[in-house]
Amino acid sequence: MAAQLTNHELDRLITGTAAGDTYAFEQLYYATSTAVYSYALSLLKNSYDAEDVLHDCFLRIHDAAAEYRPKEKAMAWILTITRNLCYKHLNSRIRQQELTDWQPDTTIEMPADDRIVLEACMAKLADDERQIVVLHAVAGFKHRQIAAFMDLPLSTVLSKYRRTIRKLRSYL
Amino acid sequence: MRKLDRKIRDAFESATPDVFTTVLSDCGKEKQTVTDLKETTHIRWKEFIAIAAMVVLLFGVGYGSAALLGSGTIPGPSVFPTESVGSTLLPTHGQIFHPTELEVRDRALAAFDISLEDVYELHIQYEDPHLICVTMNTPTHRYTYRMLVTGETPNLNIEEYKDPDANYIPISKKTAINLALSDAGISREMLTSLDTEFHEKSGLYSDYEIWFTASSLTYHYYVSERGTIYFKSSDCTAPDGERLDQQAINAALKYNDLTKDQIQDLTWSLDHDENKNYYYTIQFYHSFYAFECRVNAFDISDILYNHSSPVNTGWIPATYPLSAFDVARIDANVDISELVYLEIDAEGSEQNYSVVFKTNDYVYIYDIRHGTGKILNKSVTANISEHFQTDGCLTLMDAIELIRGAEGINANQISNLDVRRSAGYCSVSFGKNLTYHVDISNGTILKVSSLTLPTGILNQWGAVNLALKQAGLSIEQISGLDCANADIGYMTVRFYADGHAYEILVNCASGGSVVSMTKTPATNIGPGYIEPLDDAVDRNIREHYISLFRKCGDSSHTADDVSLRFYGAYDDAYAMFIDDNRAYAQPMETDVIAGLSFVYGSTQHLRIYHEGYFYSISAAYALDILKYDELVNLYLYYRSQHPYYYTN
Repeated sequence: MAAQLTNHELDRLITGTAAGDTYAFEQLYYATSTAVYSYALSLLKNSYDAEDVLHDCFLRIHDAAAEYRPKEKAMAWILTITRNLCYKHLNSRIRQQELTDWQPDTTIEMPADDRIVLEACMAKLADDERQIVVLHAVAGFKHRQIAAFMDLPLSTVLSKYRRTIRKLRSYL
Repeated sequence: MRKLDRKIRDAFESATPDVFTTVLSDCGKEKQTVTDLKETTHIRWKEFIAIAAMVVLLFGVGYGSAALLGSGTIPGPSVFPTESVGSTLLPTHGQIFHPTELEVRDRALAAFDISLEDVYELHIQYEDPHLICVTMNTPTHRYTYRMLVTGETPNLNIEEYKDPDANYIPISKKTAINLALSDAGISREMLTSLDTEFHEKSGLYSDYEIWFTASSLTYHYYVSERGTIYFKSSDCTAPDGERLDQQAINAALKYNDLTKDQIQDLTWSLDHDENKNYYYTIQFYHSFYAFECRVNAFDISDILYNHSSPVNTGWIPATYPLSAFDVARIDANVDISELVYLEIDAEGSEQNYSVVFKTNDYVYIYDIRHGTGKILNKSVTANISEHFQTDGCLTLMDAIELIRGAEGINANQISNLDVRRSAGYCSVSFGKNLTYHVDISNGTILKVSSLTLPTGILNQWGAVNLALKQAGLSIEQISGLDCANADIGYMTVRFYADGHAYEILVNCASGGSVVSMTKTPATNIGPGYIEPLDDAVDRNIREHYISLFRKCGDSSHTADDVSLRFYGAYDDAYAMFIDDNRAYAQPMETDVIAGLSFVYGSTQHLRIYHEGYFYSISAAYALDILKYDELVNLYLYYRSQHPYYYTN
């Protein structure tokens, strides 16, 4: 992943994408794909579905970039698209009765340390705890942004985040 | 905390697949709206009319004649296929057909009277099945053309919109010039020449063409009536491609042997003296110094003035979060004695502090610039969490200063700060896993620990023991135990015994003491009794239990071979022993969970059933399936059922 960009820089990349600038789109992808995938994974708990959402999300971003109004809330906009796509996936899975628990994807090549951390996040945390941690650690949201994004009181987010970090520490 | 955040980020980053190539190729597949005009075959409009007329004649002679002869109507499409967006528009279903993209493109070119050779990019999109939008870029303009097609043959109606957003207020020439000057970073007084021309467009919007010269550079701008600068010539930038003001900034930084990465809060302005000598004033901070540099606007290499001085007011050393808090608190006009919560975090960006503090009534959130103390954002919301008594006790700041004095902690050793009030004490964390607890009644620093309660402060279990002692009862004699935080520093213990309800208020500070005790006739029952497990749930759990063995190949057992000894429901978690015919003798074992000992005399340990899975008590507690209060309740119930395990 590229270094975390500011919302202003992301705004600029989305505007570039809207204007047909493929390089801007590529920069946008590499700056935000980890956040999108991680958030999708935290909601769907399935790496294949999360990959689908990652793909679909950037298609949507590409198509909708022209409608985006730069307000320095680019990451929230992108993750809102991600969330909507995840809900769509979840609805589909519920209809097909395919809801399953987290199954680690052993085909992904990754360092052992990273795998342990990922497993701890996916298997040991409650859904909302996992989302809060991902939004904070991966997407770079501040706690009050998470509170707004998840429609939770700030104090709840703060306490859940601290508790989750303590819980993860006990596993790692 | 940030180290773990980084670990988490790295883990998810490793797991993230790279699908960019697929996305990019799929973008092309789905849209196909960019037409490379150089490679497309040009089909003339007249040819289209001929083709359309033939189709109309073939499929509907009467209707077709009317369409061709109708006054002002344009023959061509009849009904738009709703399923095809951006495709080449050929007859699809019987009589239904559609204009091709080339035809649409030619109409758009004709509307603006521009030639194909001038267009370097063209998009055709369907904004709805009947509305086609064409955008075209030329080196100097961006054109938008919309074509609305409604009705069916023979009453086909095509409307053209060259400027669908016509309600804008056009800017004046003066504003257009100011926009161009602002973009160039120069003022009117610096101009040596200025010329403008207004281009009235028959198409989308008109624009101003503006030429001016300043500092030996020639500028050439196109500014639309809407105030958009959509073209500026290469002459308006220096050979290295930078604006004049940016060149001045670079010159100032170079003069001070600094780079943009090393400075903070850069500001600049164009100023002049009484003789109209123009210069850029550039101010920034580096380390503990403020810089001001003036650069001749007509000769960027001429540094007129350069000065740096140690910063005093307004400057916050980079490692002193308490100063950031002071800035926020003074801005919020909150007295230190009102505070019940404070958190300062350098999260997110190293450049900012996030300062969160609470009074009993409000929650204040501030973003403070790390280097300068500038308030970047602030918000105030009502505090709906529990309130604390603040009168007569140490303030949070008192606690911080007390610890800093006692432990010799310098302000610049503090990274993050987390201060909060709890029952009878105030916990202060300076980061680095150090937590100090201060007795707010007398200022004693009780213990340095991040994990356990300070010595002298009773936890829930301590309060229960004290209450039992006061009532002259043992744990085996009571039921319905409940222990909850009361006022600050106090806990209320409630239980039932001998047909009476007890309520005992315990002061948890300073070793603990009983404040009051009430004993009234009881009207309900305590944990000596639990509701029996619902039959369906019982069956379900046994089926789940057996299914785990079936996965291992054991098909000889059924749910009827299993029985549960139920130990209570805790929210949606069920505690139980599970008996089946494979039990075997085992030495007595003790599981210690959160300081509570569960002693077992058989192979069976208590299990928690939760949402289709069985957990050990320790796992259920670690996973937060069992809360601490629930664990204590389970422990008390278990102990009351097996007092012989606890004779020692």
